[in-house]
Amino acid sequence: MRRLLGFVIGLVVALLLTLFAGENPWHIFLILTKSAFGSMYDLGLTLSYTTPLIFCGLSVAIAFHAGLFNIGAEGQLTMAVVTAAAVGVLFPEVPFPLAPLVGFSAALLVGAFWGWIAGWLRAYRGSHEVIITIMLNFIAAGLASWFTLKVIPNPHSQNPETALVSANYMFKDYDLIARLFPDTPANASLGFAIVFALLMWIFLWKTTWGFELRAVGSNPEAAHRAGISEKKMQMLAMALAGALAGCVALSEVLGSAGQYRMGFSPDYGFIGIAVALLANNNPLGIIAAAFLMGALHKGASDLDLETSTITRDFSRIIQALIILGVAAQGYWEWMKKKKRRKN
Amino acid sequence: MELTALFLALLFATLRLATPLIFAAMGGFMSERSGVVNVALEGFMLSGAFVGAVVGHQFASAWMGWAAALLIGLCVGALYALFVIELKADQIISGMALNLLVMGLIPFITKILYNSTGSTPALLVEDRFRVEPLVMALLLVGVLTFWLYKTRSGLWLLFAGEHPQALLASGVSVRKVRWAAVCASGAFAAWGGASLSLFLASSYSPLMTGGRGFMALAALIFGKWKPVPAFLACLLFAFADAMQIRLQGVRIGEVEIPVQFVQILPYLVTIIALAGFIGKSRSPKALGQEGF
Amino acid sequence: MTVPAVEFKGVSKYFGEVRANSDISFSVLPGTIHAIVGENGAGKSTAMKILFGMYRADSGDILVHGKPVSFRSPIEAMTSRIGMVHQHFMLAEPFSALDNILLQQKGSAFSLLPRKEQKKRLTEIAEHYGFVLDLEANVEDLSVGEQQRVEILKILSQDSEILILDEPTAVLTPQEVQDLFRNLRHLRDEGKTILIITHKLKEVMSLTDSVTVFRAGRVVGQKKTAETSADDLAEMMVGRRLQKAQERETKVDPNQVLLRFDNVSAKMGNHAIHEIQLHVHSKEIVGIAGVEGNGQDLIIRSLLDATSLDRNSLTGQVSHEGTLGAFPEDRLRLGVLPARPVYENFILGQHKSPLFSRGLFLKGKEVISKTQEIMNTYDIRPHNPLLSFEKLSGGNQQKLVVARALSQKPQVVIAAQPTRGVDIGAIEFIHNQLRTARDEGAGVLLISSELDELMALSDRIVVIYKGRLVAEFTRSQFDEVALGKAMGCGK
Repeated sequence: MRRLLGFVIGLVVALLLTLFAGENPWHIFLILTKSAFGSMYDLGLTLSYTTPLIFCGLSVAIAFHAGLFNIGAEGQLTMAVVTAAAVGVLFPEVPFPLAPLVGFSAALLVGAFWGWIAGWLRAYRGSHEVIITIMLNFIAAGLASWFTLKVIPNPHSQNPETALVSANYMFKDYDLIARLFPDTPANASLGFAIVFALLMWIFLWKTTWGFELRAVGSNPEAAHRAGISEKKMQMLAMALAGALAGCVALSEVLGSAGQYRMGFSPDYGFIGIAVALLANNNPLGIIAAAFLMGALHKGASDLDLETSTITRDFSRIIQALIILGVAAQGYWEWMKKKKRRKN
Repeated sequence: MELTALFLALLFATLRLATPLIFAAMGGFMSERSGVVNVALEGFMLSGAFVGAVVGHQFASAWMGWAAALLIGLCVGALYALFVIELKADQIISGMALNLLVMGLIPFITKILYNSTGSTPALLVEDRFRVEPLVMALLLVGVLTFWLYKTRSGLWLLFAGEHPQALLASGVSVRKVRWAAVCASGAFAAWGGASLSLFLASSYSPLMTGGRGFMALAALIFGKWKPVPAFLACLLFAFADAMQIRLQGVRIGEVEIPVQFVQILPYLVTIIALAGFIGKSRSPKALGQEGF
Repeated sequence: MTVPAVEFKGVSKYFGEVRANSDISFSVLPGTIHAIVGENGAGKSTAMKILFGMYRADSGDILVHGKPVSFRSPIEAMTSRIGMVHQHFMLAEPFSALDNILLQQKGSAFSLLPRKEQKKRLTEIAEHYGFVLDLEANVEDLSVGEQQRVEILKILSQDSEILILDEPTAVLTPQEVQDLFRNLRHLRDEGKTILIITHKLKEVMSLTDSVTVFRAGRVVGQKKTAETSADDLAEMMVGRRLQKAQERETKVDPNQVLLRFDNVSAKMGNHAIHEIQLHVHSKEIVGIAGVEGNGQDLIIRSLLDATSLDRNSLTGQVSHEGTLGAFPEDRLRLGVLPARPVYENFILGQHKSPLFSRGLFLKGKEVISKTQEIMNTYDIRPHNPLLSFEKLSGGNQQKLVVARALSQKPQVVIAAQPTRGVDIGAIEFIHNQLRTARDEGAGVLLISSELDELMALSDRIVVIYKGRLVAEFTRSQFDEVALGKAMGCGK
């Protein structure tokens, strides 16, 4: 409940900021909701943002359950998406049912590897995962840009994007969700995201590995004494986090675009932090939180057209203020203390 | 002869590029030594770079920009302090949120001010700093070192991060020490940002800090949370940056090294520094401890 | 008639429903050493914290040198020349003793630290009271006894007249205790008033002039030390005669060795153990006595957690028969997940046993029902497996840790500080559990810093000193003085 209230406070403060730009906050709010849910087309776009946000929220959350802060989802998904595109471009002959599977597996592996690096450095070198994952984000961006521009650029376009993957890699023909929302990037990977959230819930609360992972996050020393290897669990958590972030390859490359486009991600990895926080790292809550944040993002992206003074970057302000609103749970105690001081 | 010239050029480039890192690392030093984790340095730097550039351009004076950066740094630092000290928000989460907030607010403001998507108009070349920020950065390291080890409030800072209960027991408010430290942290890091937009360049361009806030934090950890070693670590990272600029377009035989490979050099060096040679770097004991 | 230096008049203090102090009255004459004794939780620390301004009394008066006081903070108490040495020292390890003391002194924020002058002044004070102390040394390089001297010097440097010491001997070696007592007597002879909180009656008898006994939040007696005896005090403290160690009905099985340390040496940082030779048999409890930090934890680690030792430093043979059940010395840090529910804490460490899991999956229902069962049989209150662990009281927490270690009937039991911070009822319960395990055939290794506990339970006691086993006593040879001597000086 408090989290939801924090969310509302963050949103309201963000909307009030638009007063400085000479806008009416209520009007902005209406634009946000209308462009998020106004039509099937809008809803399709909202859902297409929701999917990667579920993946990234899960990514942040699973690391968090192991006591780690994964700020590297952005880099992990970048590496994975480029990998999926690369596989699809470089091995066009793979037949259909196999092709998406191969592309997806490769993406998962590379995403997991990129996350695992930070986990390994934390476990064996004691390096703080926050700084490491940030650095890895920059490195991933550099590598992706090189691969896109120099190795498999799109020959038919001036845009910084890779060539299109072979059609065998796309599952569009069988995609019921995509049919429901024509002309939008929404696709069946939303279903996968929901399934993954369920799987993660089962993993965390119903399996011994999940128990061990959470034990390490809760008290690493006690877990160690209980015969649980915290190093193993830290690496596992970061690898899983990387793999989950890597799932974005599913929605982006295999499900819709068929290529990697530089800048396709509006920092999904960072918004994932807000998603996980809003959901208190509960995998099932993340589905709802991702939908909420996806809607806000879609809503904000129309601000460019609908107003003259506010750009889509406004969604960052909303996200930041929501995170702060939710994170500042000491707010209530603080108010009480203030009251007591007055009395 | 040529080698000496090359060496001197590289040295000066290193010092120039180190300036923003040094300021930010000293900002991180203030905050982390007082016991407050600070991943918001990046946001502090961005706000300093932006406001410095705007005000500097407005008054056609780098010094005015510098003063404005100080003010905005104090404000953003105070905002961060409000969240982590008073509202007891998670330090890493709110730090990251603050970074995001600044990244969102800057284009919001440039749109209003200049109808642009994030850049500011450039300062005239003769108005921008020549070496002043570098000199100040070096002075700051010296002054901070002296202050930390010789004065009473320096001792307070050390205890706030190491044993806040003892500080409290001696009648000094840990909260106030941390407030002051985090505000100072904001001011120093904002100067780091301003030295990007008023010294290394002459305007603000989107996300111009490029992760330097986090590198500064890495330098601080690498330097065992002490001013002088952290300063040396900044020089190391800046050297990697200088090499990166110099190596762009260099060929090995027929093959040109991809510019992207060269650009990731500073980030790689940061990771290697954190992973490889850190030895036993002990953080301040009460780092991240809330509730005072 | 002299005016008392400190006088409590009908002081009461409540924490919510809990009455920590009720109607406390006693007085302490100036220039004396006064003991406040009582069991854990008897309210003695609360009373002293009220005097020192850390808590405020709900009712009653406190008089210092005849004047009523009501300190709102320790700072106010200190300006009235009252100082307190806490059980956990308020010292920052990486900084020098001098800086730790200088922190106390007032002065403007940007003034330079007067290190030179203060060093001279403090050295004079230290010499005046016969302290030996290196002020330039970093606290982490000082022994615990020296650290305590830093704390006392800190108080003396503020001209305090009344000193409160909370369990000052808990972490000291017997030799250091002697030094401390000499220093305290010296201070008393200089006119200082000293209050010491303790539950060690022998120390009360040897050091103090008068004593107040606390039981269950009330004062049950105030005596001149010369007019009482340790037995009297003990009876007042506990409210009944202490039980003598129980005679056991089963016999040690000398032919069945369950736990062996053969010539074991190991190192971890500054700590080391050397050539540990120790066998534990079936139906035997072997106690390891020693002042904390003499290598006890390394013995445990060599068995349970060898990877945490310095690489390649472990030599010799450590082995055990059958299954192992252990409870760690610091349960909150090493034993449990405080924020997680009781049932998760119960399965921690045995979550992979077929009782609680099938393959990769946990058996959710069985986990809960088994935890419920254990909570009922061990009477761990409240009997709710879904409650988060930190909500349990200290005694119930430890009962769960003990239950977890013993529920699978292990052949070897490692019990480290099994009753630390636990109320009397739980202590008896835990002791009986250990005896039962022993009678059923287990070999128990008991590591404790409480001599009473060791002597009540053990069949044999070995003494560890600076990483070596320096003495061994069988049950008939148990003798507090000899044990204490071996713990303190290795012989």
